[in-house]
Amino acid sequence: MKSIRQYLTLLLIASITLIAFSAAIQGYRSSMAMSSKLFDDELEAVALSLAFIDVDKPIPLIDTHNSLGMQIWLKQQLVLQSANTPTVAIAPFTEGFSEQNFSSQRWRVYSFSPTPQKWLMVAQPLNNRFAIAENMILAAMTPLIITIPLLAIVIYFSVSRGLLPLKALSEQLSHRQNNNLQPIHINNLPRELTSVVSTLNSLFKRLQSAFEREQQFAANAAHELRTPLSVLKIKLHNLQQQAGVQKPQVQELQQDTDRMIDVVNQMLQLSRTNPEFFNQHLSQVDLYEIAQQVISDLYKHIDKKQQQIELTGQSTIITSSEFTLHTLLQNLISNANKYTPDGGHIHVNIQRFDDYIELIVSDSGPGIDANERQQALQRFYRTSQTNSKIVGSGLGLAIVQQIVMLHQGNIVLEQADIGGLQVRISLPNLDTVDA
Amino acid sequence: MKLLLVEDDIALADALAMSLRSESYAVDCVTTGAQALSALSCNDIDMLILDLGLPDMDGLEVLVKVRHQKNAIPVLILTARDGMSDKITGLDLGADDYLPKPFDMPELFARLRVMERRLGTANSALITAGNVSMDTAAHDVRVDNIQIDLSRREFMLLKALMENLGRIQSKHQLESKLYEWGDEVASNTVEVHVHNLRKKLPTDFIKTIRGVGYSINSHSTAQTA
Repeated sequence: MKSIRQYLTLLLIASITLIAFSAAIQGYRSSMAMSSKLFDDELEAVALSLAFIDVDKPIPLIDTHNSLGMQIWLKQQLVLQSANTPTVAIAPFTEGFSEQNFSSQRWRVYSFSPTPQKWLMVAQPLNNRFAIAENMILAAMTPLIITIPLLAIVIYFSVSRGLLPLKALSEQLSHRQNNNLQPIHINNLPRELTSVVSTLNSLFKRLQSAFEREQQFAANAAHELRTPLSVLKIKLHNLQQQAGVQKPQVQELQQDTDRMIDVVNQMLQLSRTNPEFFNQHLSQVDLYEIAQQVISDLYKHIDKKQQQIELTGQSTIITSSEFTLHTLLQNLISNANKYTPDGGHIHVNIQRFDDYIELIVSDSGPGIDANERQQALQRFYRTSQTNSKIVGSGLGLAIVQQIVMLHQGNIVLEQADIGGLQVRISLPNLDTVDA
Repeated sequence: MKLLLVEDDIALADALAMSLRSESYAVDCVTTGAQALSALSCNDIDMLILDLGLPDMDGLEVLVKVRHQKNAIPVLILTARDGMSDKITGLDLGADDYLPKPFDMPELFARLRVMERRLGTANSALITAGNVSMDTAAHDVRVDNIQIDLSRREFMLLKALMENLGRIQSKHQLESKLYEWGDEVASNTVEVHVHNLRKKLPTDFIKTIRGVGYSINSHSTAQTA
């Protein structure tokens, strides 16, 4: 069904037309019966009055202008006839009504015998009766036929008006943001839609609480996994201390634990950088300040590899969430640190332009081949030239990509001037747009 | 040196206590905030390691109560929560340091040593980085075992950097160290003192991390205190 409005309009007009015409046929039949009765009475009256004409000798030919035919028979002799009748009897000699053909017409004939030797026959063409019935029914139906288009217009608008609440509902639903799970409100909701709207609203409510549970799960998982991982880490440290010498197996176990911690952290980051969480934690934050914090937090890893890191640009306020931007920079700088060899360089630049903010993180590492750059943004992807000694989950750039999409920004992987990978991210400056 | 460890996860508390004891700390373990407060009021505790997720009250609440009793005991917060706000709130409420779980043990020991030095005990006063050594109690700095003269402010800045080997100290953090001495700090004070310090110390001993701050690299050091 293409449209309820179209369907209802067509169905109603078709039904009304059909019913009107069947009523017309019924009307035609009853007016036909009524006119027959009237004409028969007239014929009878004419026949009765003819009985008083004295017809002892024949009177030839009366012109009745074709609207009436008559014959009077006396002792089997035709004594009087109208000009439009033949010279034979127009009906059998039995009393009552019959239909006969003569003078190339169909007639209704009334035969009547006032005395045993005398027969009166009066005839009227049947055409007259049809014509009258047709005229009567046409007169009754014409106004109805003329009003059908008018009725169509009225029906169309009535149906449209009746469907308004449905239209309002569909508009509310289609204009809704993906992450909007607020209940729907429509004024003067008709009974038929009440259950639809209440079902939708309860669905939204359940979806909302499912999202909340998911976030709660991430927070709980953070606590539940971090504590046992801490225990593992401390116990490995104790084991190493007790052994007195550096045991390679224990060192490997420590690296594996660190890798597990990385993966757990990144999976939590991924689940926390969802639109619901992001929209609930919006505030004005300074991207430059967050970059300073992230560099400070990661400096022990950078220092360990004797890499040179520098932050350039200026203080840049952006509408976002601190956790999200922290996660963004943490993944970018941590990647640069991991993939850049000892003694390499990492540059972070933050620039504010009129309507967007640009964040560039570049390194002097091996970079990513041009044909692999698009895939590199997908989850669990690790580049083919990745040194297998580098600990990573393959989630880093996917998280970055997700955060950029949250901001409706843009990410480009390119060749850095200092040799390695350059990640160029532009985020629309919502701050300015809103102002 | 006696530590009070407030941690409700028994496995973590046991493992942590074991590491700390092997570093010659005396360790008392409790699992609730109430036990922590009562242990602090009657025992002779020098430092507090506080987990934020406790069964009876939030770790931050314990911190507030401790500070409310005018107890200036050094406090290190441990937490499994992420997000910067807990860190900032914790430090604002008077915690001395903050470590997110899971952490490296050497990092925990380094932070404990920084807090210990604040208590002014003699055996923790010596910090060494490469060929530079600093006795924070005696205000004595030596390069290749030859004493160098530093102004009070230069000493303060160098101490802040030496206590945080391998960690970045922002210009703002260093400025606040100078403020603690009640000095007026001009916008370029830190730069000027760092410039003067560098002339007296080995080349590249103090690194500038452009846009972020200053650091003394841990890899340039054979051992730390």
